[in-house]
Amino acid sequence: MNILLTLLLVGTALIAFQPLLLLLMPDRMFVPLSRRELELLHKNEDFQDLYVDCLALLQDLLCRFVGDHGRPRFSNVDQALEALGEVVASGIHQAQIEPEFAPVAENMTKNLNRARILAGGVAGNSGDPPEQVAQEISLFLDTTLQQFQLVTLPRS
Amino acid sequence: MSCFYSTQPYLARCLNRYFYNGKHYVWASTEFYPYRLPNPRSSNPYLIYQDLYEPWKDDDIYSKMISQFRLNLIAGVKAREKQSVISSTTARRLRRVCKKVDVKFLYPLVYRIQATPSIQKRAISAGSAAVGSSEYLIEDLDETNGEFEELFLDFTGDADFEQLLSLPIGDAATALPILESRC
Repeated sequence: MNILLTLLLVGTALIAFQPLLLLLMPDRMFVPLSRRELELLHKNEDFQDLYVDCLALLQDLLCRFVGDHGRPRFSNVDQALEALGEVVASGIHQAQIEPEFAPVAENMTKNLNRARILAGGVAGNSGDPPEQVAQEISLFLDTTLQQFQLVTLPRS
Repeated sequence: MSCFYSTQPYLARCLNRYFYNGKHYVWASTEFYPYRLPNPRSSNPYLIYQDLYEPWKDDDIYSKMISQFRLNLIAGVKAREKQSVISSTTARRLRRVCKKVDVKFLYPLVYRIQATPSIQKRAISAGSAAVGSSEYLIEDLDETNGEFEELFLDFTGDADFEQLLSLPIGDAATALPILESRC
C-alpha cells in the first residue's frame, strides 16, 4: 500500500513539475531573443523576415510529431531540415554584412540545433514520439509561437 | 467514404488559387466532425473551423491560432518557392502578406472533396493516421478540374475580400496588390 502511495506521489510530482524538469534539459528548449535582439528586428524588416521564416520552418519541422500545432507543409523531416538549414545559412551570411545581427543569427542556429535534437528523439518510434518528447516538442512550439507574436505584433 | 473535408483560412485559398496555379495542398478528414475518431485537433475540420472563426469574428490579432496559421502559410510559400512554382521575389512579398495581412483574410472555409477514384488514389493516409485517425494528405487538389466545393464562403462586407473571390485562377498580378494593400 505504501509503495503504491509513493508511486502515486512520485508520478503526480513528475507531472506537476514537468516545466521544471525541462529546465534540467536546457538544450531541448526554444531559445528566445533578448530584448535588444527583438528591438533590432523591429527596426529591420528584411532580417525580421528571415527570422520569421526560421520560426515558420521550425514549426513545420516539429508540428508533424504532435496533434495540436497545425500540419506540416514539407513532406518529410529531411526536406524541412534542408529548408531550415538554408534559412539559417542566409541569416549567418546576412549577419556577416550587418554584424549587429550576429546574436540573432546565433539564436537561429541554436534553435535549429535544438529542433534537430527533438526531431531526432522521435526517430525509431514510427513517427509517434514518446510522451516526454511530445511534451518537449509542444513546449518548444508554444514558445516559437510566442516569439513570432513578439517579433511581429504591436505590443498590447 | 464519399467525401473528404478540410478547413482552410481564406488566405490559403487565395494563395493556392492565384499563385500556385489552382493547386491546393490540403490535410483532410473523411468526416467534417470526426467525433469519436482519434483525430487530434489539427486534423479535425470542425474544431479548426471553430479555432479560426472565433478570433476572426473578434478581430483578435493576438490569437495563437491565427499566428499558427500565419506561420503555416509562410512555410507553404517557402515550399512553393523551393519547387520553383513562384519566384523568390513573389515569395518574399507573399511571406510578408502571410505575416501581416488583416485578420479578415483568415476567415475559415471548408472544402468538401468528392472521393472520386482519382482523389482516392492521391489521398495519402498520413500524419495522425499512423495512430488510427482518419487523416489524409492531398498534395495537388486541382481547382481547375473542380475537384472540390467551398462551403461557408459567405462573408460579405469587405470589398477586397469580395474582389478576391472570383478573379480568374492564376491572376496573381491583380491579387497580390489587393493583399498587400491590407497589410
